[in-house]
Amino acid sequence: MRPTSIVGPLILVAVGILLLWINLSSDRTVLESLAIHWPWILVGWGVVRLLELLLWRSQEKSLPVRGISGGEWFVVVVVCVIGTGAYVSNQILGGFGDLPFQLSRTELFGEIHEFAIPEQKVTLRKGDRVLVENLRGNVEITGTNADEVSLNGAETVKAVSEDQARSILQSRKVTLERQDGIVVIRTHQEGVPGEHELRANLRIQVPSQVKVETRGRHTNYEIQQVRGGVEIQGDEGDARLADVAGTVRVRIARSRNIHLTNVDDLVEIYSNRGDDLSLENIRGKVSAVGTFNGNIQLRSIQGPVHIDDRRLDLRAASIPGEVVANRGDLKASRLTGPLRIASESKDVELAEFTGPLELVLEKRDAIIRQTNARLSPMDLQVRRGKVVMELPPTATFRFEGRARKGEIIDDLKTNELKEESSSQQSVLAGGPAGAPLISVDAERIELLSIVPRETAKKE
Amino acid sequence: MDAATLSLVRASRGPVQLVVLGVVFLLSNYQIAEISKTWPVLLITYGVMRLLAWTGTRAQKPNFPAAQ
Repeated sequence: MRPTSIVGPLILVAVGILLLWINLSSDRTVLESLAIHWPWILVGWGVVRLLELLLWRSQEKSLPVRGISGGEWFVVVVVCVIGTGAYVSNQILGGFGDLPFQLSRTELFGEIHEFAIPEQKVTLRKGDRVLVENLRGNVEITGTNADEVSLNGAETVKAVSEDQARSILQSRKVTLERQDGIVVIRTHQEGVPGEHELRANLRIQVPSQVKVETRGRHTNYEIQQVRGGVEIQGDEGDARLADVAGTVRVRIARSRNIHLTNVDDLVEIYSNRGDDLSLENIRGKVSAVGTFNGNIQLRSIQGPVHIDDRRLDLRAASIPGEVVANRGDLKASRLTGPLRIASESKDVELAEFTGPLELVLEKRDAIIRQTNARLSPMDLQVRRGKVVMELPPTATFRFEGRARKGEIIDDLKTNELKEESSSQQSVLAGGPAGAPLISVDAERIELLSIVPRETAKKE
Repeated sequence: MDAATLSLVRASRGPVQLVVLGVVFLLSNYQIAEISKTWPVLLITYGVMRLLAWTGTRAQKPNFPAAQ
């Protein structure tokens, strides 16, 4: 029987010691070092196997005919191919790029060091705007009655020592300067390698009437009491704006949370891959385009609203009440039309809206609840789902309903609707001429009577 | 060459070639000698190890008397 080999465990220990030594002694990444030194694995493997053979012979054990088996040669070939590939990419193609498993000494052993940003001030002239460029970090902007822009805050940097952290920070500085009608705040993070995770957390005070523009990559924004308009552009981050006037434009490719409250003018939002969107007390027109995978909350919006989400198209003349939508549901009350709601994946519950409604759903259900007897025209198309309408018994309307799965329940019985059923579908139609038309096309339709709130209270 | 030494020579052919292969790659990676120039060393090593094993096998073969 062939004796058990100790080559495998020894190679594991040797590779572990090698990686530890690389991490502790050099600024090269583990991959860069392995790309150069990997043949030592072959040399070590061969030497250990030779020593093993000598040991077995001295113990008078039977020796294998082949010192390296066929399977082991296969592993050798794989190691050579990977090692040569790594060497070629490192030496000839100029490195490995930003591979997720590439860890440098700073990333492994670095600590976060924080340093204050000395206060800086610049007096603003009439017509000036403020531009903030901060690639990574947080930006807090507050409008004040002063006529100057002031800046302070803190920077954090990851480094293996405080000296290294200081030298990184001193190689560039946060600047505040006035250039041709623009007051520019820059954090100059471009030249610092990403492994140092340099972040600037800026606290900025600006005259409240000024227009503010910001640029960033991984930056969160908190802006309040700015009355001259706000434009935000970024790759990733949050934006929270409160008590803002002037046009607000927020373009963050991957936003986690966009939250706007008390905005006096137009709001335009674009997010390619966003999560939560919350708009409250907006006095201007609202447009939000992109994808919002989290919750959408719209409350008290006085201007026209258009939400052009990948899973939801919502248009309204205004939203005095609220709209709350998540991945599977949309609940809305007190909306002003013309209304259009289209979705492939949401159950929709609409209550107490005014103005004409167009509702297009793919495979979910709709509930329409109106306590006011004065109805507006409705066009409801639900491809694979049911429509439940809860209406007051006194409501007057014309009705054209087609239930493709053959069921229409009419509990209202107030409009002299006539039903024609076949094995394929049910059709319910009728109502007084001149009354608003409710057109429904769904798998099932239920017309239910709702007791108006005032009557319910009296009872 | 006795039987034990012969089996050691045979068994150590693979490990020795592995060591030489590693050294050839190391010389290339440390930019001392290009692998495109040093690869015949592998061939030489393989040949030498085969030769050693062959010599040992020959020494082990018994001498039969020649046929009349």
